[in-house]
Amino acid sequence: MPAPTDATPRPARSGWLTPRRSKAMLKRAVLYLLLAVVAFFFAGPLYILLSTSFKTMPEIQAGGLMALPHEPTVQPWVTAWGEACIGITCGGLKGYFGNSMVMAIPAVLISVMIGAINGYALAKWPFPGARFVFAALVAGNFVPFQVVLAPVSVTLRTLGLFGSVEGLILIHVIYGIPITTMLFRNFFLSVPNDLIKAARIDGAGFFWIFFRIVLPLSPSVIVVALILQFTGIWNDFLFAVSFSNPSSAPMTVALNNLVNSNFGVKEYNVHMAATVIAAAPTLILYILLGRYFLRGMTAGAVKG
Amino acid sequence: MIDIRISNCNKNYGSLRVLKDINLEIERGEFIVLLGPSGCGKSTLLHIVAGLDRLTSGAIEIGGRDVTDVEPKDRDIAMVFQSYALYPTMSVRSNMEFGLRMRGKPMAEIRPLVEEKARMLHIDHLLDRRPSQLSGGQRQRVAIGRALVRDPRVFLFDEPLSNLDAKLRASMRTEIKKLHQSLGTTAIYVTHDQLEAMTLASRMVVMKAGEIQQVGKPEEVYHRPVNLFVADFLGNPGMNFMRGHIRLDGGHISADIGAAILPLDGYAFEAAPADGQAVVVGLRPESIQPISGLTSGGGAFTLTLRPTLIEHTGSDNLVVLAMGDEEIVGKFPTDMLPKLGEPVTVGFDLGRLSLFDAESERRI
Repeated sequence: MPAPTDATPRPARSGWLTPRRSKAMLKRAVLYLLLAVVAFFFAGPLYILLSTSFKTMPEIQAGGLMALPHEPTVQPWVTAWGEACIGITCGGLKGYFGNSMVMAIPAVLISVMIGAINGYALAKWPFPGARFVFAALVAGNFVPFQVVLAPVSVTLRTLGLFGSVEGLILIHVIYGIPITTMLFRNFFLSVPNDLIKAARIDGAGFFWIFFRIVLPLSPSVIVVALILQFTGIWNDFLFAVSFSNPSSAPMTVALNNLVNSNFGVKEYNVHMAATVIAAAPTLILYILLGRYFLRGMTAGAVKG
Repeated sequence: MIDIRISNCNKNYGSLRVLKDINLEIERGEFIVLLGPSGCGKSTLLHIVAGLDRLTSGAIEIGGRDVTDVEPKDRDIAMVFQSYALYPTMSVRSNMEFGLRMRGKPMAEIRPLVEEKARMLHIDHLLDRRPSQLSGGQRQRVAIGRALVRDPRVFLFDEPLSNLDAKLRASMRTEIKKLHQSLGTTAIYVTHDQLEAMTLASRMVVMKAGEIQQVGKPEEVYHRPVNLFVADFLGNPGMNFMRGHIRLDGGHISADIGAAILPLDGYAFEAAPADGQAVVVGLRPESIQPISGLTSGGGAFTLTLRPTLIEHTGSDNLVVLAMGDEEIVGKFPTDMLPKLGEPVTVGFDLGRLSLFDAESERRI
């Protein structure tokens, strides 16, 4: 936050700590204190996660949760990635990481694409019943996923997709469409209708206008949709644990199986490394695209 | 040759009747201005001609072809919007090329065409800019350029100058007029600005509440309004209205407006007046002048009135005159200004008078 500045030189004061200034400083101090508490609250666990993941087991057993590692080692990371036993196989997380990628990337791209086209149609090409369709989609956002587990299970079995990555992709696409549609529709409402009309007179059709005129206006909302969808699908546990089998299980299920296994000593350093690996893709996505995300979330709040 | 024919056109939004039985024939090369207050349906009518809105019943013909169910792109029209509607992510050049590319014209033909029209509109140095880097006037030029390159049969303008400041509006108005004179393309132009309508139109169409009130040449509509609405809508300052009644008196017709009796022997009645008929007499401020300023004939009629207020507009001076219990406004040249409160002899140009039935509000 930039400090308020004054361009004109101030007249000399009797003391630098005027009542007004001391009040401002107090406010500032409270602000920083609050920020520090919040930062500690969120960064603390991450610190423990990272520092523990580089410690050896004896060091962990010796206590000192907050201490930095004495003899840093990358062995827990190597184990977590390629050697840890999950269930009955001992190949680490790498296979499941691959599963998650193969599931999340197409599911995110497809659900964002369909949501964008839906939103565009609902916002700019009103058809009879459009309001009903939109209301139904909005309602779709409020259906708890637990409610649909049984019907989805039956559906996937009927389609022969139960336990497969394709089945998970299908489910994530379907349950991603309501939120992406709503997101895009609300954004596209702000695209001037005259643009669509001008393009129609110029001879462009539904998809030409979408790809050449509407979509190029929407990078921020596309990023918001991508991040929301990727985070949601990557982190999903319920669908993953319900509809996958050991060979198609994504990261979340593998991590749970690793951390909750009851064999032998609990290797906290490996668990911590595995957790960071599981969280890494969403973290990286936020770091790379975060500023677009913030811009997209506030788009429309202030007329640009 | 009829270029556009609008027949029995109706448009309803639910129970709201936006257009009521519109019939209009537009000749090739005409510049038609649709004029009316907001909500009168003029924009809707334009959108229906463009094909952007469906009509509820009726038919539209363009160039002798029934286009009622034809897509906008196949109607051979181009449109200029109030908001300019330039594609924000494309350069000026791409904006102007877009329509032709959509029609599959080869780039080798498009390029010189776009550059020619850009030179014509003095925007050739802006071709590589984005719309956001242009001023309002430049944006509107680009929007007009985008319509021009298409070389359509009909130009449609939807309040194209309303977003510009007053000075720019006046110069763009002149340019649009010149453009139409050199191209001779049929145009329909929607505006709520009567000055634009008066200066641009070869014929103007005054609308109110979804109905056409009057169609005619600007001076005809201005001087011979068919009803009180048109008379009141056109002109700034507005027409003076004086209530009174007709007197038929041994072959002489006059209107008794209380403070005076106006002889109407020279008036071209559209319907035979009845003795005692309640009427509204309309007279524009420029027809109320100091006696020596009157130019047109039609019988000089003078009254001595007391000025109560003088407004200077720069080019003219509006003098408010007390007449009985009412006030009327006259336009006085600067060198003939009366003094406030001192009665002055005022000439009424009765040749420019309009007479309306008080009940039906129609011209008689």
